[in-house]
Amino acid sequence: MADHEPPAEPLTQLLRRAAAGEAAAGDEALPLVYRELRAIARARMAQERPDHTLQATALVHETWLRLVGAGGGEWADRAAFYRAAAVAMRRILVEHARRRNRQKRGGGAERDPVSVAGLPAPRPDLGCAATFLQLDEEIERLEREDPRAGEIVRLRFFAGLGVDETAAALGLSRRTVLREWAFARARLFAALDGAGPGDA
Amino acid sequence: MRERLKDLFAAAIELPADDRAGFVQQACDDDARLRDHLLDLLRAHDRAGDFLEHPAQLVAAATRDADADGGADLEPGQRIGPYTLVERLGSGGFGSVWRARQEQPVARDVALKVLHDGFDAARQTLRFLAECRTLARLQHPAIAKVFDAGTAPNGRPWLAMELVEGRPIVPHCTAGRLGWRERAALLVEVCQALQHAHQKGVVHRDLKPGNVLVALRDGIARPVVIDFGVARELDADGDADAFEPGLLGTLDYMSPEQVAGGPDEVDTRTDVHALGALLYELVAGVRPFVRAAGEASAQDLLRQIRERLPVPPCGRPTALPDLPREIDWIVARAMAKDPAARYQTAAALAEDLRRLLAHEPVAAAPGGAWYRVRKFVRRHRLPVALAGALTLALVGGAGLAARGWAAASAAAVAAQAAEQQARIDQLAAERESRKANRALDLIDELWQGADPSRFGRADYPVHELFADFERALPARVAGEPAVELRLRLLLGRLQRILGMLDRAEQHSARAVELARGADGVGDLVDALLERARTQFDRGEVQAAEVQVREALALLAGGGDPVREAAGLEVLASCRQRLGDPAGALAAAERALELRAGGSESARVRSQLQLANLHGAVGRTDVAMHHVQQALFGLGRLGVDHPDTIVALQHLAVLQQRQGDFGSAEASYRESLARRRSLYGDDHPQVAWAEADLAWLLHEQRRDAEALPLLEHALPTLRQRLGERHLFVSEAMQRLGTVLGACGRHADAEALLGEAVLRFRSLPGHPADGLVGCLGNLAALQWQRGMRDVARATMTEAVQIARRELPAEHFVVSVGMTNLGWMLAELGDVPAAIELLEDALARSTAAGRDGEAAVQRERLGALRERLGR
Repeated sequence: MADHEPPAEPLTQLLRRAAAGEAAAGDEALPLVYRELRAIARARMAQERPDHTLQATALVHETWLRLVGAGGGEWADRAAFYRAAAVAMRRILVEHARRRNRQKRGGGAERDPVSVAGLPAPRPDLGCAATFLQLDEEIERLEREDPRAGEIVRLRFFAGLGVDETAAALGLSRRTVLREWAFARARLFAALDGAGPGDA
Repeated sequence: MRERLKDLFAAAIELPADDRAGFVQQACDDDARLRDHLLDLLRAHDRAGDFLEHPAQLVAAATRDADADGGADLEPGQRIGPYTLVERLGSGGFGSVWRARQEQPVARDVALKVLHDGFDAARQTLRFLAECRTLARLQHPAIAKVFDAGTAPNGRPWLAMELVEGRPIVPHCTAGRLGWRERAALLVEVCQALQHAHQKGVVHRDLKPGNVLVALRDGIARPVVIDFGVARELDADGDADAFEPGLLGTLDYMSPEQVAGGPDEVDTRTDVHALGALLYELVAGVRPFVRAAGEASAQDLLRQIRERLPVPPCGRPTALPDLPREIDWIVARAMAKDPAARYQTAAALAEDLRRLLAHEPVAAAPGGAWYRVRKFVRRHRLPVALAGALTLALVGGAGLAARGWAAASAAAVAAQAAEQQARIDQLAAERESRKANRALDLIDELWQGADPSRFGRADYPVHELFADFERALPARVAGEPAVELRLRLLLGRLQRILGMLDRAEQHSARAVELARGADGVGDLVDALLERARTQFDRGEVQAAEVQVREALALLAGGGDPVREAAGLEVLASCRQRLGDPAGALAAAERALELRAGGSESARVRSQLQLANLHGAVGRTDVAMHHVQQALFGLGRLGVDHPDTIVALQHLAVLQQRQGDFGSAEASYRESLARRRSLYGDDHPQVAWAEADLAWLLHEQRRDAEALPLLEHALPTLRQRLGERHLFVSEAMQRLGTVLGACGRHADAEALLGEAVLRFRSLPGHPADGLVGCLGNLAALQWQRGMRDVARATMTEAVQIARRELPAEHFVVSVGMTNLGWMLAELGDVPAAIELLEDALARSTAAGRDGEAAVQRERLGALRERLGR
């Protein structure tokens, strides 16, 4: 790992400024986090059999260790990092899903996932690229209409944060996070399940 | 409107499901749009299951690079084997799954799994196909059927399976708002499916909610277990999954032994753990272990799985309403860290759930022993004389069929001879070719004599054949002791198996004599052991042990594990019969160790003997474990292997011991069906399987069903084994008892009387059998009102038991209990009390709680009577 020494200083500084409310610093930190996250994901996937899953939580955690180090960073920096990591993670996932979706052209569009013997596909099946992209669109819409709910979904789903950590990262109460999360989840599920409310 | 909607939503989901509709109606009565939104969201909330809750698994499929994405190069319309791909349904670790169309011979849609070609070493393909063949034997309504398997021209293996149109069990339960009873009932069916697989030697290894679908079958929602083993079999190949943090499959349902030890540690009890975890999630609303978010949580989860007990389901805020505390016990038992502390079988878990659903005490209760005692007392509340007598016939471990290793038939004789020939062939290649060839020639003569055409019927009289051969033998082998030795050993063994024990004894005695005059230790050991087996079968157990001890002494230097194991196995039988269960167990355990690495079939038999011994001392769980391990080993030999069928019979006997009559009956019936198809209707193997099934039915007081089975079994055994065989006498005893229960008292008494005579006079008829026979006869006499005669019969039974059997043998104390009961009924309460006290001391010393409870209860009643 010595030849891969993370540029710790710049990132922590960026994060600190981002944590202090400087939006531009957060934007600058993002590519750094994205690059590292993607590199780790690629390396991990290349080493492993194709059936391995890559857990967002652990991936984000490992990225933090690489960039900042185990002992480093104030909690506020960490919170800023998670927000950046959630965005980066989401971007990686969407890129992959888009690529897969393109490759499906000519091979017939993916239809509604069905549960079958062999592979249970939860409804909606987010392993299906088209469904995943649809989810992404719905999250985008949620963010436009309700930024706080959108941020909670990003941190919970893409960065794998628990309820308490999400609450701490966003400076909200646990109760609020739970409430927003339940609402957003129901809304997204309804939208993907084809029976959702138009707008609210 | 959004904030109002959120407020109402948040309030509504806190309410019990039943109150929500009213709440929504009241809160939005003036605003139809708001109401509809809210209802939509609540519906979505209920149906969402774990949607978005687990980033890891969702991330998996989406992050996979295109080149690693299984089946990316397959297209609809493509043909694989006899199937045409229709649409891709999903992809997993090992490949992709398609809806595929089959036109011939039946038009149907199937789920077609196609393996990746990315990692398809030829070896893995072979494994995959071998596994598919095993899976194809699983025939259970709750297991997705495997139709067909093959390899595509590009070398890619595929598997065609039943297309199950259902949804995973957790969303099914959540959406249907099923109560805990309905969920537990679904899980019982899942357990039964797993039990079926275990009996076929298949372990699922990756049971999790996603692998259990619920589909409508004939209008009823039934669970279907999918993805049986295939993926794990592949994964397990030489690679004990690297548990790196962040790179995980589905850890949540793994057992401690999987986490700790990798594939080798996995057995059927691993599936029991997974069933427990599934039950947990179904009733608690969350998985047993929760990952601490933000941590390198895989390690955390692994540690939890290894070290921590899950929060009891009832303690979870998300638990279903009215969840009984028994569920906590059942989950704790199923998910015990130590496999030996779990339910030993999926059936045992199912049975406990069934008990819970039927408002019966569960076995997993902390006061489990007490519960069992209560059950025992209740089951045996009718005249204990009869109840006790019934048990007697099962003394000595397994039932008839489980004891009969080899078929006493011409077919088996031929098989044995072939085996012997193979051995001789081997020798022929070595030094003794001339002598061995000579032996071979002689055997040929024997079998030419067996040509059915010479006797004008297929069912030639084996006994006559032997007699002819034996008459000719001395002249033919004169001056050739090595040849004579081999032939004597062969003849002795065959006739022992056929129950011709006198002749067998003569041959083996002569073989020992010849071997003493020769050089090789191996021949002498073989001869001694053969003689020991014959003597054992004749009931001369002490004499048998002398032979075994000599054989073992000859082997003391080590270096011949196969013979040593064989000797220890005979020793174990002797020790058991002589009332030394500990010595028997020690010998059998050592034998099993020595069998490791040798013939699979011999190892399995050794393991079954060990199971039998554990069963005989009441350690049914351990016994069950060994039987299942044996069955697991037998999975490699195939389901129709004779050893598999014998193992199945052992399993049935143990299930019967545990009082799990339903499973026992299923096992007996399956064993019987397989025997019938393998041997035909009129074969001893079939007959003694019938006798065992009949006895199970009798224990459940289904004597009318038992009767035709025994009426077929007895004449078959007589004809095939001859009049003097122990199994004929046992079958006679059983038929007599069943006839008595059916009200045909005169017939019953005649048969039981004859059985008693046989047990008294024929060689190889053990004393415990005689005691059992007398006990049943006494019970019948008592029923017919001949009370004094019954007392005399029973008194004799007890005398014989005390004289001939080890003090702690349970036939002794049960016989005394029965006699005590008769004496008390006849008014001699003090004598009855004395007998019962003695019996109680014996059963207590031997740790037989159930029996002791009956005796204690009876004693209490008698002392009260005396006190008055």
